[in-house]
Amino acid sequence: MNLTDEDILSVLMKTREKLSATIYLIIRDAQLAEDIFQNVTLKALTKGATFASEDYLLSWSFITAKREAIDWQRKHKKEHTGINAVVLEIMENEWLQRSKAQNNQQMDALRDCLESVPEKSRELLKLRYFEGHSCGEVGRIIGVGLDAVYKRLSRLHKNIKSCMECKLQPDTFVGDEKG
Amino acid sequence: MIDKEKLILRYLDDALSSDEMDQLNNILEEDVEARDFLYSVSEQSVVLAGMERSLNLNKKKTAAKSPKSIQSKLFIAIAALLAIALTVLVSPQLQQKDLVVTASSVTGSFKWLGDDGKVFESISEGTELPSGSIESMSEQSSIKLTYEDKTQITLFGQFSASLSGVDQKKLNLYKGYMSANVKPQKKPLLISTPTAKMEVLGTTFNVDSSVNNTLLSVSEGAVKLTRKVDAQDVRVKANEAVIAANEATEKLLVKEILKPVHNWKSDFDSASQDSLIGQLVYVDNKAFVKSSPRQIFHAYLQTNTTIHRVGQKLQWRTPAPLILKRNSQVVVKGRMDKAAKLDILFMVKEPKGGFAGNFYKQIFPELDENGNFEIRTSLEGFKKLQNWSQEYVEGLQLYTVSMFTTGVDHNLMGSAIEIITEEVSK
Repeated sequence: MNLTDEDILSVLMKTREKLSATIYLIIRDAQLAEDIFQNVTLKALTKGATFASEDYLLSWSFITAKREAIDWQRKHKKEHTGINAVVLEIMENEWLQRSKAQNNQQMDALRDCLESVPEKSRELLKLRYFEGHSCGEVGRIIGVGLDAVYKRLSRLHKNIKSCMECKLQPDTFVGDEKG
Repeated sequence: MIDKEKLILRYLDDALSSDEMDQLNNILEEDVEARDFLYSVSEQSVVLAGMERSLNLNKKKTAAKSPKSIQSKLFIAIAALLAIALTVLVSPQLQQKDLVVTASSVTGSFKWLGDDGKVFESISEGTELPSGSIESMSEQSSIKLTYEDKTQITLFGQFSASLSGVDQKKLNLYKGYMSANVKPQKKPLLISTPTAKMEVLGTTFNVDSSVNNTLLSVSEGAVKLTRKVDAQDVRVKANEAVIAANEATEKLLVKEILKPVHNWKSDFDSASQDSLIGQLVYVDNKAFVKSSPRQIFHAYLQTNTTIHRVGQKLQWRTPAPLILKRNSQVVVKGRMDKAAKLDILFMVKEPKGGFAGNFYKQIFPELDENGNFEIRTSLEGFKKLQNWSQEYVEGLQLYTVSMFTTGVDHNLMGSAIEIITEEVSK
């Protein structure tokens, strides 16, 4: 039996962040990634496509999102600055594995970790990813050099990733709560 | 040792050279940890952006009046689903869907995708449009959009843009030309192109955007421009212009717009690809611009047709505006395989800024035995392609000049275009 509209919406909402992240790593703009995710959702609901299973929908949504992101990239950016087809194919397989294994806890853990980053670090992330400033602009705003911005972001992303992994391990305390 | 994480962050910052991009692709192909880091950063970025959007939304909701319920029982099942989807998928643009601009002058065909998912494919004068994205379907297209406060934005040529914002107007010009007459704003109008950001409080100006460059020229008032690559900013005042490139090799330099000139010659050989219409090729060591087929909307036939066009945009190369005079003449030189009707096309601006329309003239060049032609013709007989207020091309500023054949490809190549205005003896 084909998925109903409610099923489609439910699956896509469950994979929203992962799908948007895939779009983001192609177009490198979080707001645009969200817009493209919306287009993919609307297409899934309105273009008369039918999905026999959740797996089929996941594959379709990844391919459609990737195509829309690449189209946008080709229209608006230099083509040579993109991730090539071989890497995207590898990432597609990995993405499907991740999405099937995904549960709400992962994104909840990520949100918790992002909530817990110190104010200055949160501001750095906000400037870079929500307001869409380049790292050069961020450095200028917060008064540090470009290299320092890359270093801080690199450290911050690794810390958040570690925090997330710790939270997903049972009986582990994380961050400030750690004894 | 390569700092893979820095390379990835620089990729996400759009700061890699072509060689570095190749290097990153090789790393990503081989290294699962590198892919994991890229994926993790991407995931963190979109989740963080979503959290910030929610925070902003909550602030707005607290301040705003109670919204209408969208879960009306009158909705049929799918409409309800879509409405729920659109409500759940809250984006910044969707929060600003009350924005309405009116199309006040339209030529050519466009596709407008509203942020609420509604597609407008038939836009005419008076059509009210919500915040969304617009893309022109031909190079001869132009649309003037008027906000409630009478601020006017004109987009023309082959452009792609999005508009949003109720409290604060925002415009992303991904590609193409725009001119604007902005009424005084409480919050600055924000314009973003691939290489620059601009803040406007109330003024008249023009923007020409491509992937690699943004040209801003101001007619009245002042505009703050920030070059994206290094965040260097400048204030551009009336009669000044600046080019913001995607490289920071040169200091961001504001230049005075010089007194108008009346003569000009194309420089296909040394011009940037951004300024060329067509591809630069060499035949017998001579530079030509070769046409490539392009679908356009034919204003008179009201249908799509294929043209083969070559030419040059003037504004990238000339700090001084070229004003056409009554006695100006245009010279076109080139070659083609077979004699065919040729159209010369001028895209012109008003001298104080603002799109003034497209004008064209048909000529029938005679070819020599090698297929070469050279035609010199006056401005007499140039016809306006669309219903803009200007009737005559004289006195207007030339923005782009090109020639094209229609239909069958005759392998048109341009070697030079000139505007010649001889001194009139008193």
